[in-house]
Amino acid sequence: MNSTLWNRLQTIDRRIIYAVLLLFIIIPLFIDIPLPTYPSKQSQDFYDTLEKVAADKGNANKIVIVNGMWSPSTRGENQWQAEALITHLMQKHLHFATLTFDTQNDTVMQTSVVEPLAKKYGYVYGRDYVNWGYRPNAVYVITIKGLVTNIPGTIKKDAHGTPITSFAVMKNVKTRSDVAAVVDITPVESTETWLGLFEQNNSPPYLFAPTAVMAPTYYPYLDSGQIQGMLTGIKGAGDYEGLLHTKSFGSRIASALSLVYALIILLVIIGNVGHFATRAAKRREAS
Amino acid sequence: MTEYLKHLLDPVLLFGALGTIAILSLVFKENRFYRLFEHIFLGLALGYDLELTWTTVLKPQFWDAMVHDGQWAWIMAVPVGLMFYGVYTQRFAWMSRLVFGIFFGLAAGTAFQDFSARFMPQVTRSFAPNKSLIPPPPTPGDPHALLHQVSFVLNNFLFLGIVVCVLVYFLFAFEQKNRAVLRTAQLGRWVLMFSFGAIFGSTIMTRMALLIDRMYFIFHDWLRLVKG
Repeated sequence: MNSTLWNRLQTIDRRIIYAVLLLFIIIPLFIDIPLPTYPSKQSQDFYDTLEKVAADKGNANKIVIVNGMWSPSTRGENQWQAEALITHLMQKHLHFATLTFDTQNDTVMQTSVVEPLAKKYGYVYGRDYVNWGYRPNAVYVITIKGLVTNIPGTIKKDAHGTPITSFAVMKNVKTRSDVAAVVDITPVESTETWLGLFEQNNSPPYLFAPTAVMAPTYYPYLDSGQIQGMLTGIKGAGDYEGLLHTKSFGSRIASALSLVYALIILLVIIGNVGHFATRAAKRREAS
Repeated sequence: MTEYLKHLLDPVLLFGALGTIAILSLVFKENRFYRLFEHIFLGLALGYDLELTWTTVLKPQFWDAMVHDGQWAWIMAVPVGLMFYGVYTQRFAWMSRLVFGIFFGLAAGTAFQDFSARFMPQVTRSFAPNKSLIPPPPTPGDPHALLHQVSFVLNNFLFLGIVVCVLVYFLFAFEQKNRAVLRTAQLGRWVLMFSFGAIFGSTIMTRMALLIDRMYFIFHDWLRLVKG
């Protein structure tokens, strides 16, 4: 009897597990479960770095480059990071330029994030921000290298075909020294090229917003100071929203995420208990 | 038709919701509904990529510049691009080698700069004993200054120990017979396992965040059952 029970614990039908998982995700969407959350050091550093950039009066005529490599497939993490970031830039009146090397990013980033927030914060295209648009991934390396010494010559035209030199926001932006910070929102390995070919002695500050699955591999870059702050997936987005006092999706799903983690830990324990109990029962039978 | 029904039947939202349900249905069973939407998504993505590449890159930067703006030298890009296809015939393979060689050279030159700029700061930071093992002066007014300094030193000793253990684990040039080397390598393997565990945990976070986002779309954006 016992042996059967332990065996069952190891062979729970995956459809039951998926159904329970869905329930654990859906319930917190309907019922607000207030669980305490604390910003991680990396999220706090991300926020503090941009605060410092905004406080430095020498950055008044500079821009922040927002490189977006994400598409709808990682919207669940990257869109909310992007939304929190653009909110922060607009709250602090920092000028910025968006750039992407992903075909789908430009439309999603502009329509879902930048344009609604620009309306909310009164940001004017060309005066406060500009969209450098999409460049094919094949010219990624050469574009990043080009930005070091000649930004207008590398980008030439914005996403709508207008020469970027005609925008007020680009008036004083010529080379890397006119960039206040670089922020990379990405589900792919795009960081290495920025660090290797654009950054010089950790200047301008480089901030990183990857999907959570990528984050652990970038801790060495944080330790070495090459990355000044990192938003780890949706947790990072939630942290950032908390720091900005703008509760949105990231903060809202924190409880759902915590419950799902608890469920997965419970399932791992159940599976292991079943495994070890079955093994012990077999040993007893053998002896 | 009520306002709510109109919203539910909005083609964009309805297609998004059906697509989400179809793709997620795979976890229960392989089925035709899933296959249909998989093909639709692949076709859409490819078509979208092609259209965007032409309208935002090739047309304004290559075609219009060449045909309308008098930058006729862009025509040279065509034969150079065609040289890549020489790889498919024995007779013209030398052409592809020529362009591949040039591109390899460019990439190799960039890789040198890229490698040193990316990894040298990490190497120097790992082996800077003055920075790593001597704690910074205490912050004035910090009631736990001593604790912070001790934890700083312990943390950095731990860091150095782990770096050495992992490096020893990757010494494959000789057989690890010496007991001390063997144990150090084993410890290195264990700490690597810890880091893989962290990556697994983060992977779950990513996958669950994407699933929660889809559920949010279904219940908030489409069905409007969730408020806020």
